[in-house]
Amino acid sequence: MYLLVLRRIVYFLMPIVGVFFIGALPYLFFSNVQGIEAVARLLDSGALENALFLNQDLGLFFEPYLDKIWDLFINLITFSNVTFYEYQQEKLLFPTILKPYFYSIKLVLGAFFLAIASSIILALIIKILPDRIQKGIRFLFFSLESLPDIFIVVIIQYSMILYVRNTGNLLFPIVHSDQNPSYFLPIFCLSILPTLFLIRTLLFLLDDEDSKTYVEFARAKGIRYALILYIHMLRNSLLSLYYYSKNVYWLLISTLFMVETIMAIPGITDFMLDNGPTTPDVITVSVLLMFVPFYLLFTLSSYVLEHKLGRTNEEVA
Amino acid sequence: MSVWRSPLFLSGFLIIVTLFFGSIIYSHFVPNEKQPVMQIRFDEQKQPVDSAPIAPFKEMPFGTDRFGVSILHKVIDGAKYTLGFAFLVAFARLFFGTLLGLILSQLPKSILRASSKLFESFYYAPATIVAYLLIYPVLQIFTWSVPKEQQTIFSLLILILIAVPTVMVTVANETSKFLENEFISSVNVLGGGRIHKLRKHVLPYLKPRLSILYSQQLIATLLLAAHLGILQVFIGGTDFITLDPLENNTVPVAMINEWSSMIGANYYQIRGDRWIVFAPLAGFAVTILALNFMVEAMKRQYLAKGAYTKRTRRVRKTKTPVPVKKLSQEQFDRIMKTGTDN
Repeated sequence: MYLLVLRRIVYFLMPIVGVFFIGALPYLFFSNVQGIEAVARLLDSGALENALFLNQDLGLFFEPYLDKIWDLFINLITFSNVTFYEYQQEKLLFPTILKPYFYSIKLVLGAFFLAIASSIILALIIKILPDRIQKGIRFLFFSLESLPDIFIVVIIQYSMILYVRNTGNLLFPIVHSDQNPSYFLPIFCLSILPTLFLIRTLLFLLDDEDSKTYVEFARAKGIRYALILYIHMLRNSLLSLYYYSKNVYWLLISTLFMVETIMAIPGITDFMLDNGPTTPDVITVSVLLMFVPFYLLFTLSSYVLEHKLGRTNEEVA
Repeated sequence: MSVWRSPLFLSGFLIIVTLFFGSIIYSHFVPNEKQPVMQIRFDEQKQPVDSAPIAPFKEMPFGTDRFGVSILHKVIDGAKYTLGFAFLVAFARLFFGTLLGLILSQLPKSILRASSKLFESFYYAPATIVAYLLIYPVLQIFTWSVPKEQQTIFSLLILILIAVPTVMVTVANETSKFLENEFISSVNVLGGGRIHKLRKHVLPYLKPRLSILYSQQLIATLLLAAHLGILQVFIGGTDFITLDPLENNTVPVAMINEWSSMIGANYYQIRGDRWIVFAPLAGFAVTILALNFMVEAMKRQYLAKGAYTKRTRRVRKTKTPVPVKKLSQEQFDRIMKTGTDN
């Protein structure tokens, strides 16, 4: 019994340990990471003109890599702060990172809920359309889903610009500024790809539900199809939709980076890109900050669901 | 029915093949020395009306960039670099990933589970940022201490290695799930060794799945390349051009007409001369769309689940009820006496 619990805990902690392995990767490939940090600081302060003298070898350096992972681990357990260097001054990571972090969290959560709500509504609408129109719409949505995220963000931003040019009033701020923080447009851009993905998945699950006997029974009793769809089939497939939340999270995170870069939003990925190359610890801490809350949520709810439904994550996904 | 008869797969395949080989053939006839250039546009009276970034659909089909080179030429010429790069990287990812995955599937179950949990983090950490973190210092910070070829090889290796763990875990899980089939124990009884099982049973089973995985890795590589382009990390190498010597206005320029670097190098012009960015972006969109068509067709063919359109629904055929005829008393009596057939 204890062994079982221990194994569960170890498996639970594994992905978090994996993040440390990723964050320390520069130490595996570069011989002199401290040198990069120091030179970047000197370049920034103007003491140096170039980095010509910096000697750096590429290769596999396992010992500093493992040392670094251990260091980071100890740092995290003892809650010691990480320093990084920006605009010619030493800064502590912890109060500074929270502002971009909360901004990004707001965007991600907003996009997540928007995606879920709009995908359920759209999927239900599509499902009650006649078969031929349905097929066309499914094909259209599938094609839209394969557009690259840069394309979507750029097109939306540009169409806003066109609207301003033609009518003269700005619907939503297209670029972030401190006086005028932009929320709606980034959330909208972020939510498009997850929405399309969720619609496809939900339609797939609903199609699966169609062939089950309770639907036929309800039909035979003379209940309208739409009613069965809204009440019974939706309820049954929403729980299975949960198992795809990992993919949704992945889509959100990879699009978040693009949205933040193009709309000049000072979010967490922007912070990572600014300070990551000079201070690799920043990457570890930020990825952990983004990953751990969601991971806890997934794991907890999957245990609850497993308990309730009696099936495991691996069986479904 | 083979995949080759599916119109979805064929259309995707044709688009990819046309782009790739069309680009190679095109650049054989129109090399970069003979590229169409128009720096100043004249009207009928030989009066100059427009200068270097020229808008599309005036003389040049997709306009020109700020040096007067036709965008259409750049996009067609660049297709072979971008696609060839993606083919190469995706193939290497799949090759190493499959090899390691097959080895991993032969190890004890606990190792397989532990490593698939451990590498789950590669799925969650955004690949673009990890790649940027490793490639950017080599290409921009300590450029001089590493020779040029080593830089290129290193960035290629990073782009390959970044996806190997996920491919490896996918292949290992598929294989170990397949090896649990009942007929595998018959293979064991009949004396089939590990290598025999892998070669004769696992590989034929994996083949269609690997072709799906290959197309998916192609898409992932293209997206990663586009993202890195936006971050000014160019696949073909970076050059710097000083536009205005007095104002220290230096812009990064890609050394080859590769799509992602075209996007990245010209991104600052999107407000003004948007066609320079939109043409390569459209190239990416078309390529990824074609690849997704292929993936979808193969999925529908090889895997029962996961298609975006299933067979049409049977249940929802509404039938209008047959109207009941009102009978008069006389007719009713006659039917009751004689039956329906008079």
